[in-house]
Amino acid sequence: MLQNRASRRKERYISIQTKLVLVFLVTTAIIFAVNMYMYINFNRMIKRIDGIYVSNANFNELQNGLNQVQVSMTEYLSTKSSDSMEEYFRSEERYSAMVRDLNDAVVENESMIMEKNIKGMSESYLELTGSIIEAKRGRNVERYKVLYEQASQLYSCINTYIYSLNNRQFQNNSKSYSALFSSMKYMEVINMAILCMVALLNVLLTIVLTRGITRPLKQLAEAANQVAEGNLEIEPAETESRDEVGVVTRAFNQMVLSLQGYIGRLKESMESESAMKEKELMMEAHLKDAQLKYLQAQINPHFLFNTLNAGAQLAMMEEAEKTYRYIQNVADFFRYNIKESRESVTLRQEIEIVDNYIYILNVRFSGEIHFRKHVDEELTDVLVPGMILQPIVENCINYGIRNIEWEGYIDLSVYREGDHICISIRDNGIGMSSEKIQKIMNSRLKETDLEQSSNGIGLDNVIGRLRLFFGMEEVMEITSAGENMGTEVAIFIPYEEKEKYYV
Amino acid sequence: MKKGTNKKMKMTVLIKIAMLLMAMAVITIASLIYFKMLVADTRDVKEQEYSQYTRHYAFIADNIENEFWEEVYQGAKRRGEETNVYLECFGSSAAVEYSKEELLKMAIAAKVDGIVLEADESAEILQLIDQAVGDQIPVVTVMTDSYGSKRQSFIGIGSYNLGREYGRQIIRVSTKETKKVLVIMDERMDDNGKNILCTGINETIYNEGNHLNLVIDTMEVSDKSTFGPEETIRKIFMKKEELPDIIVCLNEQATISACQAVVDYNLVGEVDIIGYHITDTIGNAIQRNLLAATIVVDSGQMGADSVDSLNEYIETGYVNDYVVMDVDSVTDNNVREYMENAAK
Repeated sequence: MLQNRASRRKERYISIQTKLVLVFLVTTAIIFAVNMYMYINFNRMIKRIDGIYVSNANFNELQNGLNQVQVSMTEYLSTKSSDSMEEYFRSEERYSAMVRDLNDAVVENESMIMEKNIKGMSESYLELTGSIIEAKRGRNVERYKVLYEQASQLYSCINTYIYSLNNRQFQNNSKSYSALFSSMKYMEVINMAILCMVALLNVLLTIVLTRGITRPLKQLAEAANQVAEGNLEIEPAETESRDEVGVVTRAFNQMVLSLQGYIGRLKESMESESAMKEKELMMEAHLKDAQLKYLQAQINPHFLFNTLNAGAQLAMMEEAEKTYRYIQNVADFFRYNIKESRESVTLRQEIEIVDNYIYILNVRFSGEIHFRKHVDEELTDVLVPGMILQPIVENCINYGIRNIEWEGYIDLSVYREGDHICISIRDNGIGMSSEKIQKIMNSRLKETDLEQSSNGIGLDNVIGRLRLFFGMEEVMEITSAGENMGTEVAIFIPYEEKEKYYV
Repeated sequence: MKKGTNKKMKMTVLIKIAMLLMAMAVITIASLIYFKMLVADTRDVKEQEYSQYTRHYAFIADNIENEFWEEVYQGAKRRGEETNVYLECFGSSAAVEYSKEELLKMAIAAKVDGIVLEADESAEILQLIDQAVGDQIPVVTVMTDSYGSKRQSFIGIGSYNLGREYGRQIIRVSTKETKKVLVIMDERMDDNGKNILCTGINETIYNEGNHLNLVIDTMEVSDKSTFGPEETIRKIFMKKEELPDIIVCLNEQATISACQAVVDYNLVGEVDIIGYHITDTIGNAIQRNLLAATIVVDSGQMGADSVDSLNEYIETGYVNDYVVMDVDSVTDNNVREYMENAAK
């Protein structure tokens, strides 16, 4: 069925060239035919006008012929010359030939009947003249005189008849002539009208046929514009034409269809990819969440503090002063750790927690660590991020003085230096290589390094928070004179007269 | 939806174009047909088709313009058409007016197939009739005969019958005071015919109206001279003391002239006129009582009979020598009927 349709389409394929040639041929043929028709009509008319007065001419000739017969006969009768006789026979022959062509049918037309009468009378007349000539030859004077009388009478009658007929024909012919002439005029008008109509028809035909060519082109251009604007959801361009435009239109429709399909597939694959990414992200977030939950589950601070408080109270009741103080310090330290770790606190609080920490460590390590403070009390009201001093001190102990042979000292100094407050923590431990200092300052310690620190807070964390808090880069300086020469960590915070950073 | 309207628009445009084309074609064809008709009018005589006849008869009468003879001619022509004969009113198409004798000669010379002739008693006519018959052309005389000629047949009114009918009308019109009756005779009528007619009138009056005291006078009028009859009739009315009580006219022209004279001389009711033939004028005169009665003969039938006689003679070689036409009289009792029949 489909094949059948296709073959039919192929059969009906008419190219634009053929169409244009057809238009031209058809219009030309019409014009040509009309012109031909008019030319033939005109010719016929002209011929007819030419022939109008022929009958008059013929009757004049007939009358002349009759005259000659009569004249020659009369001459013969008066002279009896052989010339006149010859003349008579010639004219008689000519006239009878003319008479022979006249109508002799009985028909319903007066002119024709007149012709018939003329013919009959002429024949009688010629018989009569023949008899006259005979009588003249036979010298029968009486007879030819009587016959001549009769012949003359008949001659005049015939003459009148021919004259009458001629007149009648002339009137007829004049009528015909004027009718023909007016119809010639009329035909001119008709011809002009027909020409105009045919021209109009041709224009119409051309418009109709060429519109069949240009309209699909316009539609196609419109559709292409829409596609160019990104609208692929257009209706397929209509086409019924079986020419090149039709072919192009169908190809265009095919193209739009495949574009639609292609873009659809592309969209689908993009959608699936983004869905997968989202899933991945979700999984990661969930993992983190789980880690947090896990960590939180590990620490139940209230339980810990209550336990520690219970221990402290027990120690007090047993009057174990030292134990009480120890447990109280531990409790304070952890409380601070949990509560204050992310809020801004006073420098005094920070120093107190360092005190707590040292105390705890000294209980643990039997007073190995010597902690000395040189604090300008006027400066301790300055606000700093929580948990900045304790990690530094922890660092000093863990990496500085833990494994040294000599007595370890940690010095904490708070003093003013220009428009800065300087908080210096110095140990007399093993010191630090300049590479390591560089690494710390540039926050390039690995995560694993940080995680190993006791409270999960490393130096780079401290540095980062200080920088964020004060909005400046130069917040810390780490200096080490070399191996076993100790390390000094100095924190610089801007000094401002009891304003922003003071309670 | 859009496609539908589009198609609809296309259809309407197509229909409009088709209508325009149709209109153009119709106009063109109509004008061409009109043109053909125009041209057809100018066709040469010979190009046209005419009905053909087998025979050609000539109809020759003195006064063809006369309504009576016109009717005779028409009746003859109609019958001719029915029997495939062309009846030519001979000489009517010629530019010159010919006499009856000349026409007869011409008809003989033209070798027609038959001649219907209003004859008279002249010797020339008789001789010409004999010549025609000698040339194998049958001749039928109508109304007036050429007594003694070799004509094939005569179609006429029996003069005696005519006389009787006139007599009856004279009796009908007469009163005791009526004295003088004038019969205006047609000169062309042969003497024999005149005598028979007079005998018919006299015998009728003698037999049927012997209670009346009538004097019957005759007078001849000649229509040879132009306007002759009219003047003669006028003269009758000029002499009041000799004015007749009843005037009998034997032809149509005399009847009309007499009626007009009665009106002109203010003699309506004093002179009764008995006319001949019926035309619109004569019919009206009867209705207005200008005319007492008129004697009619079926003129159309007369013409038809003449053609029939010629046909019969040519086809069989024999024909009745004398065909008598019936006569009838029209008075104010039956004039309406006659006029209506004539109108039909």
